[in-house]
Amino acid sequence: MSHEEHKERLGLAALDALDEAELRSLQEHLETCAECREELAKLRDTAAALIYLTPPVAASAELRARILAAINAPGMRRVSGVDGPGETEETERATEQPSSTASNAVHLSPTRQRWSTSARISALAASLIFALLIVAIIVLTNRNREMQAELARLSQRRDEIQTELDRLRERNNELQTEIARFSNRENVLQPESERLPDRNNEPQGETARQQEPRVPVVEEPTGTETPVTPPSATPDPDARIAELAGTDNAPQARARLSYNSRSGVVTLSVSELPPAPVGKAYQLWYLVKGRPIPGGVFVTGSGGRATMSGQLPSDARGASAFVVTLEDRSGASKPTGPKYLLGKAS
Amino acid sequence: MGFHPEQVPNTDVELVHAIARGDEQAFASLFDRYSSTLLGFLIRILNSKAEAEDVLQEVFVQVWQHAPSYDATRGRVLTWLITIARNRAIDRLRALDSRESTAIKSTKEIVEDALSAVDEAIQSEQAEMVRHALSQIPEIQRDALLLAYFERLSQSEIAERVGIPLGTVKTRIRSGLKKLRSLLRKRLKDGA
Repeated sequence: MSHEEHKERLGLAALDALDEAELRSLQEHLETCAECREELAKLRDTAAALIYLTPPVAASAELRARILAAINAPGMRRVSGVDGPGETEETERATEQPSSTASNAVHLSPTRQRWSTSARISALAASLIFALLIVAIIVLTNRNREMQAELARLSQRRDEIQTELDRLRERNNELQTEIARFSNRENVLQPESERLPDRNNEPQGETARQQEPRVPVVEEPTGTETPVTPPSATPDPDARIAELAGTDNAPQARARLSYNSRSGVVTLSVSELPPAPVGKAYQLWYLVKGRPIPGGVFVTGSGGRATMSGQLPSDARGASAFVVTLEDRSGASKPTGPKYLLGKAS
Repeated sequence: MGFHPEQVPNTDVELVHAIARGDEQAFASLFDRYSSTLLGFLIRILNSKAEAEDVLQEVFVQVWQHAPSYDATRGRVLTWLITIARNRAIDRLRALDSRESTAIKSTKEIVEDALSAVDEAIQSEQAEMVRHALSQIPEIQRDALLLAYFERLSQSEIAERVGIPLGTVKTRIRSGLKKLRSLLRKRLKDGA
């Protein structure tokens, strides 16, 4: 419907003579058309003047009192436009008065306890802190558990390593003993008390010293690998002889070292050597250019005698001197103990 | 509340605003100002003083309740009061119709009643003006106006009653009101 069409209906609207559809349409138009709103108001006021066609009738005092008292009746509500469908409809249709505003409505606050803002903030902060503490406890407990497990693992590993170390030490000891035994088996003479009728076991010492002249031990090529054989007392034309004398530690001690250049066998005969203390033994050294080359290890029997035979170490050829020291029973790689016998190669 | 005379509500609009604030004195003032006009009007429509008095109470209770929603830009206070009165009267008529038939006045009767009020003892200046103006409006327009106003007939009902096309009703009423307005404009006072 156009603006003009709406305008034509304003008279009917002023008299509330429009049907519902037309009225709704006009009300929509009125929301945006100030001109029609103005004219409608004027026409309404004009129509209202028609009331003067009816003679006024004064209200009785009783009626007046009744009506003035009615507004104080219990349950009397001062909200506009919501007192029933009839009144709302009438108010909107007839007066175009807005019926949606309830400017005098009284808003009642819910009667419940309300925390002050600061108390709420404090409670919230406390809750957060508590929650964080719980989380921290859980995290730390887990961490602790993990570290305990790690610690247990490391302890076990340490124990394993310790066990391995002990085992290796023990093995090392066994090997050292094995080596010493091997060396002793080769070089240790049987005790003097057992005089065996054998050219190999003829008592040495003075006899040998008297019989054999000092023969320089020179390096001679020897290709034969002669198994260890008991020493020979028979003067050997291939033998080189060196005489060793006791030091201040054992002035009476004597020794003769003979070297068979053909067989490469060295024989050492010792006498008057004090018995070695428990755990100790005597060791022969070849001095090559001042450097001591370890020889065999031996202990003495009765009379301080001992005879040792063995292959000359290859790096001991050309030895210029010989020494016997007291070392640990398992032998040493370098002479550390006191010297008991010394001799030069001739 | 101040005690200066200027601040005492005096105009119709001031009274209604005061009533909206819960001012019972203002309510009483408005009642005294327009209750006789409305009661006479209601008696005319309802044809019963008892019914008219009941409806008058309904009207002023509604005034008390809906005073906060009165918008002065939409029309004068009297217009607002009359609208409420007319609607309550219509509702009462419908309720009464269910119980007993109400004689529907003919158009002629209504018009005669309106015009014959000149003999009433108490006449206001406004009433005189309106009657005088109405008498100057073409009859066909006046009939339509009064039918719509007092009997609250719809345009289709008017068309049927008067025996004219629907569009003619619309035109006549608009013309009649505009003419009436122009006649009354200079002399129709505000509700002050």
